[in-house]
Amino acid sequence: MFRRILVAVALVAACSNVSARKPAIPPTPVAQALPVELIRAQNEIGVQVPETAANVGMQFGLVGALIGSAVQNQQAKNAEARIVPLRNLLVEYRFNEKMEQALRERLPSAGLSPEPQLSVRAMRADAEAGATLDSMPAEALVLVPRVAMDYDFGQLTVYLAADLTKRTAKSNGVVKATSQLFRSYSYSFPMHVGIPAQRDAKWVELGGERIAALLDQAAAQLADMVVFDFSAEGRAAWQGKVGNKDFVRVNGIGFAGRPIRQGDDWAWVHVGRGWLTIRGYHPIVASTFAAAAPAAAEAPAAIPDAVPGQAIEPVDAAAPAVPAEAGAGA
Amino acid sequence: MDSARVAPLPVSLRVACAYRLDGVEDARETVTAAGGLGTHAFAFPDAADVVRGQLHEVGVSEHEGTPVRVRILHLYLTQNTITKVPVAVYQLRIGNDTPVLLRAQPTSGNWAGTQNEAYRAYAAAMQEAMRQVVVQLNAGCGA
Repeated sequence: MFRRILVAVALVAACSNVSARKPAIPPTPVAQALPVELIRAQNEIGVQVPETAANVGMQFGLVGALIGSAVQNQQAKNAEARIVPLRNLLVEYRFNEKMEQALRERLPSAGLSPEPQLSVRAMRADAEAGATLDSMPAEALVLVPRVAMDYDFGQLTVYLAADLTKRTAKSNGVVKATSQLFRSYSYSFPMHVGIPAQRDAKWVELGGERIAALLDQAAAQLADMVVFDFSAEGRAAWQGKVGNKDFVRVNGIGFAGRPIRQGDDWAWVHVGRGWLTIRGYHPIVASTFAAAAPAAAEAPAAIPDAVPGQAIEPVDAAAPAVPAEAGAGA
Repeated sequence: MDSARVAPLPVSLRVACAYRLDGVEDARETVTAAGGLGTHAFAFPDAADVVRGQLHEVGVSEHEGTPVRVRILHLYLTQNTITKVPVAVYQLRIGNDTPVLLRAQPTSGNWAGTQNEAYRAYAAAMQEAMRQVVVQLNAGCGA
């Protein structure tokens, strides 16, 4: 990866303009029995790290890239250590299964597909080594979910990337996948309890059971977003416009974007320009945080690593043992 | 996954008293997706056999001593920007004690995203996890 960054920086001057392929508007429904591939891309909750290396490299050339790489590597190490208490809380929570369950229940729809054919895979069918067109559908909706905490622990987000793909065989038999339409969805839980420096402890305090319930909710919301997005109402908004002053308020917290749907504790908005995307927000505020009080009382005692401000050593050194009961995931 | 490339342990890693292997359970969500590095994706269907072999190697016997049970909860490799993140999470139960959760996550920079790098990362996580197992087992030897 370091080597690739250096190569990328060296080649940047030689880059030519690349024109994005214009998305194709799929029919309604996309297909009566649309093959849907859910990719099991993640094992545990991730943590976002700023792209420092690339940014610094672009500004200061090769030396900058080297320094930036070292900084970014350290940032990633620190972030991966800080997320451990949350991973331990959710150690037996199976998000991929929850996502699959939500999609099976909610995806059948008039706009997308009345009888979607869902399969769960470790990787895209067209990315497997030696794959041929005979072994996969020529058209599929490839869904890739991902759960990630922001670098500052201010927001937990579940992402869902949807790629409507057509596959053809090259003359040598190799499968060529062409994206017809790419849509992305997200559902976020911004933490508005505690000061920023306490956010990681606040998530732990919230407890594994409660976080698992939030992630279950996110899976259902994301499945609903896909269905909405391919409905007549959703399609009509694909190339709409979002005003600079558009926003929605949830539990006193404002979020930019054109409102789509809203419940007691959450809202969806359209954001972006050109092809709009859908984002969902479910802020964790004092009133909703307090609802999780029973779990909050147990979590800190079960996970000694989670004391605010106490750094967790990267596991090159030994990680302290944690009582297994700490894994309070669903 | 070529299990032989991730199984070796440091010779110095040994239990200090008698333990009997009561079982190794593969409790992962899936055995077909163990993550990967760049274009190299791995499945690890025989992880329980590898861990069982490692436990024997550090001196846990089949026949005598305090029973020891291991559940493999996670075993995967992922990337975070330019950093490799191999992860091994085991639940260890010694006799009738409360099970403990052991997590090894030896992050390191990703140089070229090669298959060799990936194997070294998996091996590092499994070695660190087994080291933590041995530390837990040896902590009970003086009692």
